[in-house]
Amino acid sequence: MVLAFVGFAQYEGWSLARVNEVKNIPRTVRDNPGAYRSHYGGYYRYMGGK
Amino acid sequence: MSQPAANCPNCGAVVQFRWSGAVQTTCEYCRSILVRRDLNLEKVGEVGDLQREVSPIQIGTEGIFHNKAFQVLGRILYEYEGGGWNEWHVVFSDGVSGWLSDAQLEYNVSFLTTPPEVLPPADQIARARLFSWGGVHYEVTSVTRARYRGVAGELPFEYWDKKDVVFADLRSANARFGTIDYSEAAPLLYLGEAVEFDELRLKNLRDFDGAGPAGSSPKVTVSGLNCSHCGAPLALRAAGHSLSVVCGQCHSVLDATDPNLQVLEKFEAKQAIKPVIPLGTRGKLEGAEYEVIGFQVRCTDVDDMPDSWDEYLLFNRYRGFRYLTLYNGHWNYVKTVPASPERIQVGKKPGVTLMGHTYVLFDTALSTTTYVRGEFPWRAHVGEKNGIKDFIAVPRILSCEITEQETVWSLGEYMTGAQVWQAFQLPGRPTAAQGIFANQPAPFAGQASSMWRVCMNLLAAVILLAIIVYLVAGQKNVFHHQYSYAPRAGAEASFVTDSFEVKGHPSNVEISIHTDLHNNWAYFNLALINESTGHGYDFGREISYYTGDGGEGSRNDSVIVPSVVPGRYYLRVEPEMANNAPSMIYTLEIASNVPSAALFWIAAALLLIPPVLATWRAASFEGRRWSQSDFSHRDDSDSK
Repeated sequence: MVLAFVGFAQYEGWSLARVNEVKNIPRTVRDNPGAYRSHYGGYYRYMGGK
Repeated sequence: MSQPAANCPNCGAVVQFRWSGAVQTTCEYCRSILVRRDLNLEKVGEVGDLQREVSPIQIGTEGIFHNKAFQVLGRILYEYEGGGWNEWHVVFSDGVSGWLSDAQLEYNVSFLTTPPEVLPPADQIARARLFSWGGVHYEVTSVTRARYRGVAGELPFEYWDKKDVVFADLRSANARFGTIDYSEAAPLLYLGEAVEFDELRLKNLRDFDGAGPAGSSPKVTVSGLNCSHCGAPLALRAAGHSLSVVCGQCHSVLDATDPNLQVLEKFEAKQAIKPVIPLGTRGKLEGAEYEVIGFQVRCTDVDDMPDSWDEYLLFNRYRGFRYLTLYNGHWNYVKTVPASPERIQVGKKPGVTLMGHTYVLFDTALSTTTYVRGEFPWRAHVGEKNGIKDFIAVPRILSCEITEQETVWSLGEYMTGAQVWQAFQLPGRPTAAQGIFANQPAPFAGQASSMWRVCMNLLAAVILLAIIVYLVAGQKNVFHHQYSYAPRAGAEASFVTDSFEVKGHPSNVEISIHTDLHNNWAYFNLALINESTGHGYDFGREISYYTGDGGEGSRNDSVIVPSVVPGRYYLRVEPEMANNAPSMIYTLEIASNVPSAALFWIAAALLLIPPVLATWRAASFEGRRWSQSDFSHRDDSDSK
């Protein structure tokens, strides 16, 4: 059962990694990437960096 | 066999010899002992009254030993303090003469042998002395001073009117048997082996009230007697074998060999102990029916803590005596072993080997009998003390009991209460077993090793699957480009890459970032966006690399985006650095159909759980078993 699960998971591209999924991103982002606001934007302003 | 005949010189009856080599015989009619001077017979004595016939063997009995047929032609009867035994003279089909000894229904076959060395005289033979002949190590297990009681039938030598005779019995680890016979001026050596009743395939046995050995009921005759002290009725189930019988009413120990049942001792019992299996109960064990004829309670005093167990004596008229022991709900079926195990060392513990099995010392104690009831083939009495050593090879336990007269080895096999109840058809249910007994089989025995075998096979399958997946996955680099970034306040840092194709089935897409950072950091806001559907995967990665104090961080990073459906994608990239940071050159690589190694590690961990749990459980059980032994680590001051 474990082997079957691992095989199926590999085929479906499952992973432990998790990323945010965003739907309906407009095509205009291609021409104007600055118009898209990432969930992770402004990292260094909050974290301060080093 | 030729059968010469002659006339008895005393009564004139025809005396027919079954064996041409017979030197002495007895007249069946007048019981004269006759010595053959060829076919002239000389009377040299008379056979006295022999004890009540309790042996199943008789003159004329036939059997098989090592595929050779034999017939019982003669008998010598001996008696000693511990009882009596018969030496049956047997002649094989090839004319060879041998001896079948029958002592308390334990059988040995032996043959007169030329001693390989000079045998010690009777006053120099002692128990535990060792001999080594023909590659076999023998140990003297008993030295017996016996009284000659009589002869019958044909013998290969002249033998009558003997007085006390000394015999030294020898045993080896593989049931080889020997006797040094001091009845003649020069000691005689007989060597052979112990045999089980069933191995001899005896026929023409003595008929005890119509029942035979193969019958379901050996029909033990119960002799009705009365206690000579209190008059209470007594049942003697093994008359002729029992040496003592205990009155259940007044607790007098009586001499079972005395027709008047002389009182040997009387003990005070604070309370009458009722055996779990009542005396007289019959049960079937190892395919034979046994009757419970005796019961005793014995105790030890280990670490100042008294501990006691019950012993049941079982009797079968052909197969002899067996025992059932009971301790805290744990049962053992025990029989004496006609062998003397070899001492060895098993790791740090003493051990012995017997019949090809290795036993490890479990504990040593001095036992005291505290209660007796019923019959016993020895002078059982309250206060009887024996040294005991227990060796285990689960599910067997080999016990050595040492008395002044002899060393007796007994082999026990673990039984559950349910098995005992089934064997004796007892009502109700047995008492539940408490704790773990020395030779109790582990309930999970064998599970751990079989689970490890299965686990290893499955792990091999996981590895094979991983290899196949990595070979078949078809990992493909779909994008590779180098960029540079110089932070400028207020400038728009984000950009989008060229489109690339993710083909095939939903799979992991790995995005790798390689930088030339040095004592600096950078942050990447990334979004993988499907051109057609507008579906995006939004994530960020921080990369930092610092030298000094052993270094910290890495110039590279990667991220797996799971289950990305096939299609055309582009990457939106927005790097960030400190405003005064120097410019950075970095490379973006994107690969599709990337297998996830983590899943294989998870599968391996899941597969390891059952065998690890089983091993821990088995180890825990063994730890609790050995905590009861002389080798426990509970109290270092008492460890041996």
